[in-house]
Amino acid sequence: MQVYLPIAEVSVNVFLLVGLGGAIGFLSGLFGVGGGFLMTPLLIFIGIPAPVAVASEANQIVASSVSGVIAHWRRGNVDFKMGGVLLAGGFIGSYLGVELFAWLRTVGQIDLVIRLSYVFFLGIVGALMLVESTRAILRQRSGTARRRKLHQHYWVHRLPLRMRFRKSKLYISAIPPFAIGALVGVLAAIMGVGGGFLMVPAMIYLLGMPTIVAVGTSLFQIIFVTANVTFLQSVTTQTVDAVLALLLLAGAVVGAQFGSRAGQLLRGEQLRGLLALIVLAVVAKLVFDLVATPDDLFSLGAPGSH
Amino acid sequence: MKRPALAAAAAAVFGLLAPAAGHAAQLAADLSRDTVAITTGFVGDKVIFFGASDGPGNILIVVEGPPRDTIVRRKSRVSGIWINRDSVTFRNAPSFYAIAASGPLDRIISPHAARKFRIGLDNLELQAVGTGAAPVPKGEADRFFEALIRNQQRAGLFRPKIAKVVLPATGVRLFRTEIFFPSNVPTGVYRVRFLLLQDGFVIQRFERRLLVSKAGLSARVFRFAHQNSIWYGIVAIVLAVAAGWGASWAFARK
Repeated sequence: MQVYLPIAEVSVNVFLLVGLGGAIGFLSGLFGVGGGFLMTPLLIFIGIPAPVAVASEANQIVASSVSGVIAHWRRGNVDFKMGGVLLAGGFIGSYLGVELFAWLRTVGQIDLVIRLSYVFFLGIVGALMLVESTRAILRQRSGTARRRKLHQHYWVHRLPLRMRFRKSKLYISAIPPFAIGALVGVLAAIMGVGGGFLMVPAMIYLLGMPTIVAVGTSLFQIIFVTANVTFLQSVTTQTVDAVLALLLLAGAVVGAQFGSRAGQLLRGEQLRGLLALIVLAVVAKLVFDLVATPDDLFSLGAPGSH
Repeated sequence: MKRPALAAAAAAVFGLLAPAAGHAAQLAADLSRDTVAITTGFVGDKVIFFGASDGPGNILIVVEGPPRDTIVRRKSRVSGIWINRDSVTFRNAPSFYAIAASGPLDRIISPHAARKFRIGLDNLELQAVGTGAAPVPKGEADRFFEALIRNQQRAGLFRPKIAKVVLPATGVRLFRTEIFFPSNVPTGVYRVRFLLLQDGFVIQRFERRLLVSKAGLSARVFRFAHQNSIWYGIVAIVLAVAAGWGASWAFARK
């Protein structure tokens, strides 16, 4: 059954979209990430114009993060104060990101920037995660579990404007979380991702937050950042396809529930290792597309519209 | 199945012309409908073009989508990766182009007439505008123009084949052809030209309009997104929040 997407202006099979939503939802439930970094490239691959894929995916992530954060909030894993600081940065970042997005579109380089940001950030996060999880698995095998400090102190923690974040068990400057929020906001607008795959590691390794609180808080913050991106994209570029977003999230919310059940069968470091491999596979595909000679060197666009 | 009805309709159209049929050849034509409605279930659509002529001659039908400035970009390799570099904008390029004819183009129409009436992609003669102030060199413009055609053909918007116009044997010369409009067809007012040709010359022309527009839900969503974008954004967010909330509520109860 085909459905004509009113904003993307193409017709796509309904079951393909719901199925994609379900598969990515399963992975997001399994790994505790939004899955935007997988979904957006897949949407582009099935023929949704890149700007529409990015903007509509932000809309869909609003839904998955709401359903995820409720579960975490019930268990007390959301640091609202930290979320607020991240959010302040996130709003500024997503505003800048949407402006940048609109400008890049007029210059005709938006596809390139989306791809390069994916390669760069996914590459870094994937590689780091793979190394970290492999080490954890090896350590487990050899049985020498090393005790770790609650968190380490870097220059990051010595900046001014210190605040106490009770849930995260931290007393640190508000500047680093604000900066992380802003960076993730820019990326959310350009890449059509919630930014969880970037923010969670940054919160754990840079700020020293406990993992579970980092996941809950990042979901909380992502709701507002992606909602803001959805709103700004609607107003600035009119590329949010609500029909597309609704079909995807119908599959995603169901898939996520099965994913989180399957996730309980695997250990943390195994999960992170698997996620790292998926991330790196996406990177490899994107790099190949950038480097390989395209079938047709020419492409079309309409100035000022899509 | 539709043929007898069409033939009757065409005959009726032709019948109206009968009193005037004393001189030269006459052409009458119409479309099976005047609107292609893009609804939520739209997967492309066929429109039947039909008509009648009272004299001998070939029939040519040209369908052009609303003209749009179209930018063609060329990728080149910069430090290992392919990025968009040069571009040429073609002024008022048709957004859709299809031809139907009762014979091979080079046989039924003279090159001069084809140029004059802008028949065929080679005769579009679009204005090419480069990025700088200098005019685009001829060779470059041609390469970009070929790319425009190639890309539009791949997208199914420039129909690559010339559709066959069926001319039934004797009697009243009825003709008919079908043209397919794919699901990515641009919206707007299309120009449909019917030409009657004898010995390569255009002896009669007839023009109709075809409206391609979104209809039903997809039209409403599109209009909402463009005319009321602030509220559209808010509604999109509220829907997403409600869906997320609803899902977690439904699964928590299980």
